[in-house]
Amino acid sequence: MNKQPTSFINHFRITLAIAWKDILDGLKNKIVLTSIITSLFLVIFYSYLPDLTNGDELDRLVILDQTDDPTIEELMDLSEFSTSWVKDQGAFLEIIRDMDIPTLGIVLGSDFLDQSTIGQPITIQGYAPYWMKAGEISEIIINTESVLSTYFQRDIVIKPAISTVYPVMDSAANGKSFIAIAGLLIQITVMGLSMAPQLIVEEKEAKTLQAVVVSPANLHHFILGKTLAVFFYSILTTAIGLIFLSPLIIHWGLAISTLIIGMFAVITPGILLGVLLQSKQQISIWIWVMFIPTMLPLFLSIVRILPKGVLLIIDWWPIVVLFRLLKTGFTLNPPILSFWKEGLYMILFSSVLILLTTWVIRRKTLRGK
Amino acid sequence: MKAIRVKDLTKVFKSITAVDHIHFDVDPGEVFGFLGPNGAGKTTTIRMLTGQLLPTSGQATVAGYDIILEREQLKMEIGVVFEFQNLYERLSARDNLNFMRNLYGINRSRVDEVLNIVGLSHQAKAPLKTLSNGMKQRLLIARGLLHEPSILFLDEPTKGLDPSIARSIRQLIGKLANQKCTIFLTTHYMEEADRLCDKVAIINHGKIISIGSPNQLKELYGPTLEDVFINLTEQENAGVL
Repeated sequence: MNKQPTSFINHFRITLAIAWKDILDGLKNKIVLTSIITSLFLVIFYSYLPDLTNGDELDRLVILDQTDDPTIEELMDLSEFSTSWVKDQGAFLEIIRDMDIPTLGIVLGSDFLDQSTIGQPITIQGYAPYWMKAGEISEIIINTESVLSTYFQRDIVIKPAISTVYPVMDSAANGKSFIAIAGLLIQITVMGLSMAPQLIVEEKEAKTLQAVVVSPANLHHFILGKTLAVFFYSILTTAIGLIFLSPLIIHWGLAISTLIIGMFAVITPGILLGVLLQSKQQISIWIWVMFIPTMLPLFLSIVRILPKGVLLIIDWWPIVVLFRLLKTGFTLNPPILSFWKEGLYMILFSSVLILLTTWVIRRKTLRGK
Repeated sequence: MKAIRVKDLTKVFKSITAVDHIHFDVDPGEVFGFLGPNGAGKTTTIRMLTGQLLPTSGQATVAGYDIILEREQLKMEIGVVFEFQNLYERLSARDNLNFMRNLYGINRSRVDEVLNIVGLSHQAKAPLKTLSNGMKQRLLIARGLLHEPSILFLDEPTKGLDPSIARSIRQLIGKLANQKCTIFLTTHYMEEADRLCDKVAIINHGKIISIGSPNQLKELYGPTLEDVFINLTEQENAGVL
């Protein structure tokens, strides 16, 4: 037979062969199917969670009251709406940003009461979160105009070109984009921490790994092939997730590059688990041991109930950094400098994990394990 | 050049010496039987000779390649049939071989050739779970032969198989031996070793206690290879050897 020299092309071919086997085998492999279904369920469930929990609730109306009349809030009967009154424009925008269900913001300007006596239609400025569909906006506008016109016995028009409220990076508001970002991060974490180690340990348990390592493939090819296969499935499920979340994404390039960085950051510890563990039972324990400390800081960073020193650590926890990075894709004017700083941090973090995994594999290879 | 040359090979796991300073040579085209009771060190020796496990000390070359320093080259020259049926159960017989074919970078047509050699051409597309143990064992041998290795390691190839299937596997091994493929065979079945092997080594407690052709050993230690095996292992256990 043709004895082939060791070359880059050979290494590449061997790695691809290992990845391709898992990709072709995916639909018959319950590990792959379970991971894909779980991760898709999470992202789809998260994206529809607000609509599911909202039920038959009233339309949301946020009113910025700039009039000098302290009684207007009590006088206006807006029982058809779930209403929030604010006096400050910043707070007004934050409330709209924080909403995860269709919401209309209106501004009762300082001349609103004067206008209402002139006999002309009153025009007021409307605001809506950026993710609302045109149909949802016009529906809530018509409803609001009707209620306000009845109350003031005058035609009230909410400006057709309403202002769109986008998320901003330094805002504490979360709203629908938080749910979407958290859903995507949970999705890639499930794929990385669950599928990667299971695909490796499955071959250890079936002892097929021994057949692979007596072939021209070595442990490095095997691990790299598995990484590529998990990466393929992560991209596939994330792409489906992104289709569901597409109305929320503003900067696709930033969102996709963050997700790719994130995939490397979570697949690598999953691979390391697979290299170190020997059975699926061990994995099912370790997935939770890894998953909780991986994801929990994300929610702790939002509620911010912990002491300042702890929050400082949490703010640089990889998943929280990834959250900030991914938020740039969901933000109108993302600070690119922040993206690069935190992007570099994540690349360094992933590189350290890759080096650690390579070192562990090398040790195992040298010991002939 | 010897197909396999082993000198002073030793493997120690923590405090247990699994293989203890063994020496032997295997000539090209020879069927070499490596016999011993459970835990004697047969599989550990195969794992070292096939590059899966590093020895604690000693030297060995397989197909002229050093088992420590030239593991990558060595892999191209050997085929290994494991003592367990480590196949991809979700794949068909052909897909199992195609996966290995991709690792070796060899032609697609070779898959059909080896399926034909082991008599599995008609079951090529069948899911593995529908194949009998005997068919799976044949598939393991096909996988070992796929890249036309110069040396084939067979670790207990008839273990756990019913007599008729075991016979068909032996016939297949005999056929390979006639084609001058060097075969390193471990087995519990003395009759199998007697029939197939040109030379046998008996290992007990990690040490080779006797080596020679089946006929030479029978002349020295007993009328059948089974008697030879029992006499030698009992003497070794009693500290006579």
